[in-house]
Amino acid sequence: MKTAAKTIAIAARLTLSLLFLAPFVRLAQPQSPTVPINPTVNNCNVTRPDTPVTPALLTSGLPCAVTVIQPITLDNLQKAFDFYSWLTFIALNSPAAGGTIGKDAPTIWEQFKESQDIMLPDGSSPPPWGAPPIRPSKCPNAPAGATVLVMVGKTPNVLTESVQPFLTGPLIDQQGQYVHYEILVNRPMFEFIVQNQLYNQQGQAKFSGTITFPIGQVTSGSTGTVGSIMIKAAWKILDPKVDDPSRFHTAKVLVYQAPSTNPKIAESCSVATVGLVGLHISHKTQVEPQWVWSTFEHVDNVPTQSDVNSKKLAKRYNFYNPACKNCKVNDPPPRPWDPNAVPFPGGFKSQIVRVVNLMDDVNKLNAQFQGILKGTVWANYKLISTQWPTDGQSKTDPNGVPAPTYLANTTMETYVQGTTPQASSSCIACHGNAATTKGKTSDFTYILERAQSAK
Amino acid sequence: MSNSPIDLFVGLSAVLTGVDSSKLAPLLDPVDIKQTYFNFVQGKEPIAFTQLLGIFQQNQGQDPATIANIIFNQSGAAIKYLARSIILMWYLGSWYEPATLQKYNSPNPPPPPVPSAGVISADAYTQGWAWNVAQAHPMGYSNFTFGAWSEDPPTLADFVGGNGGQS
Repeated sequence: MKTAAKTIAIAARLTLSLLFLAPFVRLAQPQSPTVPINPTVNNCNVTRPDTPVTPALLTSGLPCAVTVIQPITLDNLQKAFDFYSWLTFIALNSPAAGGTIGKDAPTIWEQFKESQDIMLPDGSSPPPWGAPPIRPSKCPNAPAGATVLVMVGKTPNVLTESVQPFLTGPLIDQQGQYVHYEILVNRPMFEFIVQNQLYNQQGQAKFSGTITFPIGQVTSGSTGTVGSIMIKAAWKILDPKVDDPSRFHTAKVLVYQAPSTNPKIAESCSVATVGLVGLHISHKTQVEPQWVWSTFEHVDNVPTQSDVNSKKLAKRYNFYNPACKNCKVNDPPPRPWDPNAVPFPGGFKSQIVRVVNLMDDVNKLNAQFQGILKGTVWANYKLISTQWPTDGQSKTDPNGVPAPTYLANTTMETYVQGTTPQASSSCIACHGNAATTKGKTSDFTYILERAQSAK
Repeated sequence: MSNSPIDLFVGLSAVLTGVDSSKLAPLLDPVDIKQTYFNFVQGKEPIAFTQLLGIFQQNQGQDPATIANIIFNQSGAAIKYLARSIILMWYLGSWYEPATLQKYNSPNPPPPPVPSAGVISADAYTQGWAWNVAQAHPMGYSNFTFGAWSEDPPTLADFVGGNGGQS
């Protein structure tokens, strides 16, 4: 009897598990043995920010921390952080298969773990590092290992990937297509979450003390540790009739729309070729416990307000129509937002303008790095800025008094650009509010808020 | 510290407010509210402001109480009430016209409250030192992390520098 009851209980639990896992199919993966969360590396990129920008930098590697030089002034430090951002961009966009950045290929960061593959609907332990992305069951014929982009939109009751650009509205390109997003983390961050069981609510409840993700640092020479890195990427569906894929870093992905009841949205899945239009890279380091926030965009995205005012406009942009005189600028699309209804009904296309100009020093640095990347798709990306804490140890400002105070990527903080306290985008100020499901501060990541209860 | 107008303004402001100059004007200062305030006062009261900075420059080697006595009791009404306006600006982020303050300090003042000419800027609202001295934060704006309301705030010395305003 006992055995029969146990069998029934196991069957019931299996059935329940399958129900909770219904939208996703996951192959059983052996769990990797415990590995060091943040192992020592001996190839930290410690290039000084006053180093001439030459092709030698294309193979200089990933910085474990920001290298700064005298004098310690706001402008000089900003230059150092921006230089660090470009080195990081080059390192993380280098081919995953090895070699130097150049020919368009799957990148190192695209091999990081997607957040929807960490915070699973049933709160179970995520597949180990290196396992292929979890494939929604709606996508039966998907290419093996394809990245899964979960659609922008309000999709309650379903574990969604990202609601960028926040809940203020989706971003619609000039072909009427929604922009898609993904969030990924590197291995130290992933292992910290897994080994501390922060991937479900029970684990978060059990965790004592303050959540402190691994830090990047240089301990001596080029030896150190790579800290936690979070990536947020924005992708545009490429239209072969209009878009020139040779201008973008591209990927063949699954565009998955989770079902929703309010608003009513059907589950869907399709394969698409997408082009990278926005990239956030945040890295936690010893001196910057509020993380360092670098953000890049495709050069064709939008004009600045100054460009518009002075009528110095390009022929076309990804998210702005120079010929449209009556389009409302920086206005979210009208509801309803149904990502299955594309092109967007009524012919709506986002008309986006960059509100805050890039700093002159950033423009100069962009030109230098684009110069060494000339002839590759990567020359079509530009740094917007790097936000960093000017007083990382401040007792009265846990955000560390960020510089610049505000920072927005037009593909991700589209509708919250500007310089108004609390209303305009600041990476650190926003992420400083992040918490776990148990109300504990979560060290500047919202990923932990997505944890479900273990079944 | 140099005798540049902005440095004199910071030194003067430290004496007037009791807040350490390293807090009013940190070495790395992305908000740079001191420059906002300097420009604002320069635009409002250019003559009296220049005189006030000159008085501070001549006496900056004195102890704060002596400097305060010179400004408030020996330099005339224009300087005295401008100094008061500057104190209120740092603490409240708002501008109170010196002439208005003088009117409200007369034997027959108008009924309160003293009218403000307005908040100087959005940043000025968040940077008001009244909030720091209260070890709190402005309504609708906080840098503190989730759950900070259930914990003791940092010490007053952490906010204002020095010994926390203790004599």
